[in-house]
Amino acid sequence: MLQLQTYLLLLLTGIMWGGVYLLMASGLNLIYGVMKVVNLAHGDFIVVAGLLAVSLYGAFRAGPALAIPVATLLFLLVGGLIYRGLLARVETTAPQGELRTLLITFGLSSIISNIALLIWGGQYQSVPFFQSAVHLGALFFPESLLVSSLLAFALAFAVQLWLTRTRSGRLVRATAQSELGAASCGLNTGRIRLLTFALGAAMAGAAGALTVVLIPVQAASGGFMTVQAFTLIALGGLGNYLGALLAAILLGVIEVSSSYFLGASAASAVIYVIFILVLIVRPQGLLGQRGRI
Amino acid sequence: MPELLQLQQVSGGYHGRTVVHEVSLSIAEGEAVAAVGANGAGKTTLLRLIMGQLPPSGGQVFLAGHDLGRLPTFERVRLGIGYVPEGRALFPEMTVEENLEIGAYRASRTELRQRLAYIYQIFPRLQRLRQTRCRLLSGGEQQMVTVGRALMTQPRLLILDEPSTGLAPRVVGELYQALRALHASGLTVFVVEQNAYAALRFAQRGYVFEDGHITRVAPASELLHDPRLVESYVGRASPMASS
Repeated sequence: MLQLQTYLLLLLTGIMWGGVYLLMASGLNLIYGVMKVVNLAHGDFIVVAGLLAVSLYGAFRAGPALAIPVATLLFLLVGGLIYRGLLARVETTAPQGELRTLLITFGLSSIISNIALLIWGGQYQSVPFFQSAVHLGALFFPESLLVSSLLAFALAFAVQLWLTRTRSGRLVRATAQSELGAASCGLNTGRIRLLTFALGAAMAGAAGALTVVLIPVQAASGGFMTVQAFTLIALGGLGNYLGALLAAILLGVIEVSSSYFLGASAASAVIYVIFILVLIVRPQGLLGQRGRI
Repeated sequence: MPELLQLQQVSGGYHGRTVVHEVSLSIAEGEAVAAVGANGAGKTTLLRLIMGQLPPSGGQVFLAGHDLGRLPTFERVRLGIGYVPEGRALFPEMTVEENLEIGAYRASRTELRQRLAYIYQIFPRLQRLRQTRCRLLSGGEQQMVTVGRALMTQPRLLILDEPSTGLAPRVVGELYQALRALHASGLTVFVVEQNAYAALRFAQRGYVFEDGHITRVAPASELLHDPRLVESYVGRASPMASS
């Protein structure tokens, strides 16, 4: 009986962590799906948003309720400026377009993380909100995890609804599926790319401001977060929304259970083993074409 | 007749290599024109230059007398050029109707319904397939969606890049039948084809394209009966030749 309870706890905790990972990867997934750009600065956006939340807490004792909207709006703007100022100037259709955008976002990543280091220093920091434990029957969950995962799933669901049920979302999906087709329908694809990058960055901002209650960050944590988010969307099939949801839950459950049975350091290795296996066995992701943006 | 599309000494290519050399051509309002030539003659590049997919290295493109300059593709579409690109460029995960609707995404609801009805009248098969995802359609059906989607933008000029590629001869016949009907209703059509026989039987006038140059302009019927041309582009290369 005790064992069953343990398994249930591992499963539910894993699903919750999956939601958090999904939130942290959603912006990257959207940007890749529409623009075929891997934003290597994605994790740094998350970290800076988290550190910003730390500062807001330090200055005003403000929690995620203030930090999330502030970070979201800030990164909406930052994303828009980065697209206009840098990415739009690179021909993504040129043969080395993808490589060039990769190098640009890689450069951005170093610049952002070093500026963050100057401002916030190198210590791990967190926001002490939602620190209690929540009882569900006989099971205990950290409140920060529960709140983060609920918000994460809600946001992922909202984005999915926007993409499939609204006119603007549909135009974004059309551009994702064929940019040439979208242009030949008279769609201003440049503006759609701008909107997408800004939204993807805003989602990273929201993710950072929220998850810092759960995951302490320091200036250089971004690289690891990018890799983690990229692993998730690769497992789900790059740019695939449904796939990302499944992959998030799978990764969450695997990580939580391997960390329970094998220890925390083994758990992060397991993620990379899975990543490499996916690339070898199923490079198109769990779902392949189905469920693409 | 007034010129709808005019190219003046347009050149262009990729990475410093010129593929299209100082091409001048003109298409009058209401005309059906074909450009034929072998694979690699620069036909697709020419259309990419017309559509603003590629910046020209020289020359000008005019639509109804206005220099299109460096306008991006979507602006050219809004000005009235319907574009059926090579390889179709459909939205594969969307249904037939969703694809068509995006072609008229700026139209009002009533307007949208009217345009859809028009497309279903031209391609009745699409009405039956309206809820099917485009990825699941046959090549011919996909080509119909692409043409239909371009028509949803309400073009004055329809430009098609190799519409018969990969289609069975019977399907090519059906497609050109539809183009004939569209032309008869007043639409100006410019088609670029390797399948010279099908294109020249449809068009009134033909341009012959060789190594990025226009080498001949003549009435289509004349080109169809030119033994040299028939030998090089029509002859055995086309499965339609015997029918």
